[in-house]
Amino acid sequence: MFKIPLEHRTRLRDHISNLFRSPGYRRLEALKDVSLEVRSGEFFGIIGRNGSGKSTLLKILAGIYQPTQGKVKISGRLSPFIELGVGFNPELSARDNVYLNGAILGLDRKQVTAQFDEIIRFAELEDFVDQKLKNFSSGMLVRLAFSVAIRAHAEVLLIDEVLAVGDFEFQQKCFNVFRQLKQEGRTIIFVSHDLSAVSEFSDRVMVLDRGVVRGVYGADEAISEYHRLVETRVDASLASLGQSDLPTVRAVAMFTNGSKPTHVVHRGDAATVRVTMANPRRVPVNAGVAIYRSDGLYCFGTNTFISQTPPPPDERVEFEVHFSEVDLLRGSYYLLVGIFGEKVATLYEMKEHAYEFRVDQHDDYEGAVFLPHTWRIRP
Amino acid sequence: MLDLNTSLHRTRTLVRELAVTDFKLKYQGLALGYVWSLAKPLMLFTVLYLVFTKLIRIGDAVPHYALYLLVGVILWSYFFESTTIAMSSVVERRDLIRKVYFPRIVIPIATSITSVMTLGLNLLVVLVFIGVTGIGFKVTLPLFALLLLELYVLSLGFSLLLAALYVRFRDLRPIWEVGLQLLFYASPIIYPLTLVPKRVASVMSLSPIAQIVEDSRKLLVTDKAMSTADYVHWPLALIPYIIPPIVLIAGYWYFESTAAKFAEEL
Repeated sequence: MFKIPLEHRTRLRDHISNLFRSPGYRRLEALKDVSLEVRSGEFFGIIGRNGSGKSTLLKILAGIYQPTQGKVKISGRLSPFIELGVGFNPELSARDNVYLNGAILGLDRKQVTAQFDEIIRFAELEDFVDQKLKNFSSGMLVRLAFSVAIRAHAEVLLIDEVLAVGDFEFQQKCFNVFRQLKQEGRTIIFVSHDLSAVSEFSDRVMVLDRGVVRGVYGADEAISEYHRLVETRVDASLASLGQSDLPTVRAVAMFTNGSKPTHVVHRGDAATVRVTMANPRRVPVNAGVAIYRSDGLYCFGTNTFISQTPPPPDERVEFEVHFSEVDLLRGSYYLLVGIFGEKVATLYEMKEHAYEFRVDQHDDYEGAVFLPHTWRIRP
Repeated sequence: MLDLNTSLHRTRTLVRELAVTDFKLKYQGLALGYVWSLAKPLMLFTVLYLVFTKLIRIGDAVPHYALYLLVGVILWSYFFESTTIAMSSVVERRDLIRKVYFPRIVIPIATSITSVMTLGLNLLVVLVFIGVTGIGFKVTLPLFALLLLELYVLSLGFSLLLAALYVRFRDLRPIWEVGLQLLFYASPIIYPLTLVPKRVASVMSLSPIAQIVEDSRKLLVTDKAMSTADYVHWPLALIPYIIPPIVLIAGYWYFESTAAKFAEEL
């Protein structure tokens, strides 16, 4: 629980002149009655909306904040950082920063020196070792920071939103590291907004909503619960605005086989996207569904105008687009759903990140899309 | 959470890395690096020397006034700098504090070590001076190390106290700066205690700063420098020696008792 004073009192002068008046406190309960138990070797995910208390929880686990009530027991060493590149100073060289960051993470000089070459190699920064950090691109910084961070000797790792920074290739590198860490049997507590990453690696996932634990579930179930929370919140906020009489998207769901919406698609599977739309004024509409990769790559988009199959102008309409083969390759993706007017020029609603899903596959092809092919080698 | 052995080792490593990187940052990018930083106390010394030997003639009362003044100025600069830098050190490192767990006391300890490194370099100049003026080194010189230790203890104590207080009271800086100014004039840096009326001098000699500076001069410059025992009866003469450890204990206690809340307050 945080006690936030109503007035911000940072000056001695204020304290003395207000000595006999308490400023009044606004109580912000960032976390309420949160109890959790993580087993050794477990990959434990934590998801929740912004402001649900995820970062606060991690900071308490790391020892940065002291809980108002209750305590934290950890057996084994804890990696004490929750952000990459802590302590990085742009005026120092990469070499100096590696030692500094290493010290902050609990590695002494000898340990850092022993792993120094490997750290630089993993980050692909061999040519920049003695350059000042201020000359590095943000991608280089993240690679360096991550490379040092994973060498922290700790049985328990706390990872907070690491994947938010960095490009797609870097995210893949991170994922490889996660797989390796999991194999090594380290305990990892992972907070992220990337639901597909959470579902791919987590053994169990905790859902937090406004400081309260909604429950601890298996990965897929947790994600459904999370979406349920998000949708109820979105509906609630729309309801409070009063009914908008322009056409709006009410629900988006994706199915592969079976009647329950799923967030995992196997490469090559068929998939159906079902959109529920409200159209109180019954204006003529067209709908579009686009698939984006998590890094923003626009994979494919289609709409009812191109196909000449506009949804009927009913007050509430459900329609679907069926993909006979989703040949996207392994990764995280999201849907964008748009509602346009008759000629597509008028845009009524554009819902980005309307639905998230990931694609997995049994084979090793890489890239964005699978194209059927055969090799022809002449002897 | 962390076992004591790793914890101590880790703390030492962290202090060392922070101090070293701070030191590097301080002198990096300046064309002559350290030399420029030496300019500060030297300029102060030069101005004071000229004023007090040519204009206000205090210097006449003291043999080897130049060295006498230099020792005082350098010791004072160390006290001034280390406490002032330490004061804002915790607040400046808010990014670290909010993101990583480590014993917060590492931060002001690291700055105190950086300041000591600077002091060490400055003292080299003093040694050169001593050699040049032919005063010669006395057998009692190693005792100077004890005086430096006493000064360090005093500075660290104040540093811890100020660093912790500054987190909550940001207008402490001007208050401390004024306090330092007063202390400077109330201490025998520029002038010897002998020029002050006996009654007042007795009280002044109880200040650890006065005692450290005058004792240092006794060791380094001339036997004629006065020390506390000359003004005040034993056991009162012990007072300046007791104050530094008391300040250190108080500073340490206050810092540790408020450290847990730093992350929230910053």
